[in-house]
Amino acid sequence: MAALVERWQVPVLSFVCRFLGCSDDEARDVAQEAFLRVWRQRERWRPTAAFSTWLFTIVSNLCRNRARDLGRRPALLQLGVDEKGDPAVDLPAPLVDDPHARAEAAEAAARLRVAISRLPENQRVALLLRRFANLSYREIGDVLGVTPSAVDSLLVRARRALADALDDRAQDWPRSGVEHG
Amino acid sequence: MGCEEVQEALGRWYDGELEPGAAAAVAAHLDRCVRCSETIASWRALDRVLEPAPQGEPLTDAVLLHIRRETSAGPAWWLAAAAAVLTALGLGLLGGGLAAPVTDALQTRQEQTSVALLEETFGPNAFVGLDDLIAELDFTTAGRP
Repeated sequence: MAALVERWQVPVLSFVCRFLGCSDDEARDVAQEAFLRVWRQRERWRPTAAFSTWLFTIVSNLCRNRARDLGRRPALLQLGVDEKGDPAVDLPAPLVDDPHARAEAAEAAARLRVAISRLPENQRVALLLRRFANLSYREIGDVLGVTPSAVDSLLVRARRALADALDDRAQDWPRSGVEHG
Repeated sequence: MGCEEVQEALGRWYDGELEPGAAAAVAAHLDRCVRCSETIASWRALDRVLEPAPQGEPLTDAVLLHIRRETSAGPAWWLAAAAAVLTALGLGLLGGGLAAPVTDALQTRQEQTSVALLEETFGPNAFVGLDDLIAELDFTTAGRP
């Protein structure tokens, strides 16, 4: 179990943080609960399915339920705090030292958080699973109960909506990591 | 491959879901199409913003602690059932006044629902004589004038 948690902690936390736009503490609570549910339901997992698919089905269901609770307080999400007043997670891209660029990046990160919160849930799940769990279209489809073709459509729409929210300024941000495509 | 066709396939190309032949055709189109290239650039910019969460403190210890608690606890219904039976039978009538201390112990240690707790309270093999005890009490109360 320890190895499982170590292996999946970052992808799960990343998914939860972005899906809920919540504070680090709340994201860790949700992630911890997800791992506990994996352990409690371990006998239900069948090796015919990818473990990551099963794990993120549990994670996404937990997040959807928590999002419904957070939905009662949409104004907080807009302000960038959770119900305790803790800052919501923005996780901006790595920045240069330029304070102007840093301020722009912070503003864009806040717009992104709001834009993600406005995505329909299936689009949000598909995008975050692709980005953080690196699931294939088929695996994402298994989590969502849709076809790979539907996943393709969800991702295109989600990326279009978020790219519009970010505007052109995000394209000037410093590059990091491996380029896609 | 025309623009419309490429736009349809762009997502799958971006995520590595295309067959090699189709992927190569899309790549060739991107080399000469500004519109489709800009779409890809915007998606790459989005991924740069969507950074993974920092590693932070490991969750392992907290998760394992919860698991240990759950595996060391016995079925909660044993404790609740035993408490209900003892209280209903008015165990204090036996002169031992056991009900109150039992209830207090159970309330203060509400989290520790296990057979081990009952044995600690009543002595070893607490359940062994429980049925006999209940039967004896029924006989005793039934026999009173």
